[in-house]
Amino acid sequence: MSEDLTTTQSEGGNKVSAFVRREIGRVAALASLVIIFTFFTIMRPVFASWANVSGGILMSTTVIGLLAIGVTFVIITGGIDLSVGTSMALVAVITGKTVMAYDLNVWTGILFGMLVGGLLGAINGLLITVLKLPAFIATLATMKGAQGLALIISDMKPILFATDVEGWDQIARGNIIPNFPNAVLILFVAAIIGSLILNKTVLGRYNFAIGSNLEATKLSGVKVNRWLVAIYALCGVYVGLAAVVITSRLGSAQPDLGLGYELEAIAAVIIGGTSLFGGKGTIGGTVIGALIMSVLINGLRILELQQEWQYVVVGAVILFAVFADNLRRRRAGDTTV
Amino acid sequence: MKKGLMAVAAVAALALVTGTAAPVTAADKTLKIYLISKGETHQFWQAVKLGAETQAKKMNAEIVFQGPAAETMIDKQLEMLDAAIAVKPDAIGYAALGTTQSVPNLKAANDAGIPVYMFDTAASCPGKLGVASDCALGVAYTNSTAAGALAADKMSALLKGKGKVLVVGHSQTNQTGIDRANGFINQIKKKHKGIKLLKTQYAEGGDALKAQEIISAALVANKDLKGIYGTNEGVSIGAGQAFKAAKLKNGAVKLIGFDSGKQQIANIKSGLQTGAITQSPMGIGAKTVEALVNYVRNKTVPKPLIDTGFYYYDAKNISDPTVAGNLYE
Repeated sequence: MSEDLTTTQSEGGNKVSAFVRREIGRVAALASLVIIFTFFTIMRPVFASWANVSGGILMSTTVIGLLAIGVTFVIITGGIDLSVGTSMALVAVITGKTVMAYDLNVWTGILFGMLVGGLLGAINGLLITVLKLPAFIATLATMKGAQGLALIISDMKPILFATDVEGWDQIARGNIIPNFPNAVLILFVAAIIGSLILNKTVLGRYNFAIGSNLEATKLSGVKVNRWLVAIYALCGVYVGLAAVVITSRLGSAQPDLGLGYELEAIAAVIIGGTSLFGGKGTIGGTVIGALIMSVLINGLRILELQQEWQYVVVGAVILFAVFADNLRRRRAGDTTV
Repeated sequence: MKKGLMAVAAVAALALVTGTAAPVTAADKTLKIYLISKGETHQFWQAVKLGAETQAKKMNAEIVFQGPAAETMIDKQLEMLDAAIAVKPDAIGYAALGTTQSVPNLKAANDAGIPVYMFDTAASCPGKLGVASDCALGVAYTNSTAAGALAADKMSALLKGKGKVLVVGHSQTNQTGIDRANGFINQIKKKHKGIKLLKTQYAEGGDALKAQEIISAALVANKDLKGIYGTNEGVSIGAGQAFKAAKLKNGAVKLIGFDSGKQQIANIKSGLQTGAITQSPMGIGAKTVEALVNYVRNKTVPKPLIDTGFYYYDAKNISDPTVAGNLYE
């Protein structure tokens, strides 16, 4: 009887330690998030008020968070997408113009934005697979192209359309759940769906397989190119959703906004424990990574640290987060990063 | 007697007619002036063009207005400048895109005997501007520091001289951005000591989303925040959206922005935003043409720096012709 008990206990212990080992990236990221959050709360309690948590921190995570989820799929394949920021601006501009021209309602507008985003993503995928361009170069080109097109289509002027479409401003600011901004709900639902796609579908399985060993995946008969186009398109759908959210948050489409957002998104992905070399990563980690960034930036603003120093601190935290992650992996005998 | 009077009148009338028509000399021929701007299609430049053309009509001059498609096309603009010099117009007005790159071209214009006056943005001319310069006679531009100071005076008046105010700049590196922010800050420190300034924050590039997030955080951290000054259109838009997100009552926090644009104008009309400073693009065009025509025709040496003016506008005076002509959507 007593022997049985000890066996189960040690088995349970093994399970727990196995879980911790498997999930340590996310656990470590979550722990940093809690530590940073606690630090700011002690420094200024108003930081932890719901008004700041929902309207400041969570709301600030929505756009970068959605971009980061999209780019997580791409990074797990071992690729990169530098175009997510300016593509977002382009989708915002095209959606704004189209919604105005055809008098679309809010739901059609949202779907349209996601569709355009998906198409832009598919173009990236095709450049990489058909023209065999390195992802870095292909998406650098589309990043520039999207930036230019957004300016051309908008005639370099913001497109004020949200006030003309009933419900558009509610996409971000409305509350289906009381006191909980819809944009944050969208982020969480999009994260759960993303996580399901990554872990429970064929696309998710091939996503990891391509990132771990492209050649082996090809040899096993998987039509790698098609799946890659699909994965870049999926990333684009998230970019489209981010575009919808940002137009709702701003009440307009800003054509010159988005450059630099791709790096913030990629930073969130890496802080969340996804490997830049592919084959490893989680959506949950990415969301935590994006939260770390926005908690940090919001906290420094609440403390009213001089802006120049805010940049320095953010840079240092990114460095530290990735360094700590590398160190832990090396100790665990993981040589991929 | 009557006849005599009429004859006198007729002679006088004739004299009047011939008097105005007689000296058809070089001094009164229609002057041809090329204005090489930073752009053509943007409404700001359209307003510059309109101001220039209106002034030109008054002074018997003709304007050729050219600018590249985008403000990054320095080489394209320099080609336009060279082409204008080749035509040998009576004068050239120039808004510098390549502030250093354009200096040799401007020297070429002077060598060809074409007077140059700059507008909106000066090139980095060596030495002092004026007749002795082989670069340009001067520059007509918006004094951003003074415009920032006007915003400070208005803010102080709105807050009756006391309260916490946050400045959100749109650039820490661009001179216009720096001047707009510092003009405000220095005026507050000098003249309105009851106003407490929070640390200035920057939404780099006028990023409306970053501005919104900065202001949302500031509203949380400072329950007694009374005013916000945003130095460009993007910052003003972001501030308005932050107010909406925080469900503030209109006017609870005063917001003075800069420039115009559809959304900012709508926000001022609805009361979400208190007011804004606008430059006077029409004034930039008019003053440039005035300076050049007077110089060519009367050898009146223009001032090396002409402040083309700016206005504070709010819901009350937004439709006044002096203001409305300078706003763009």
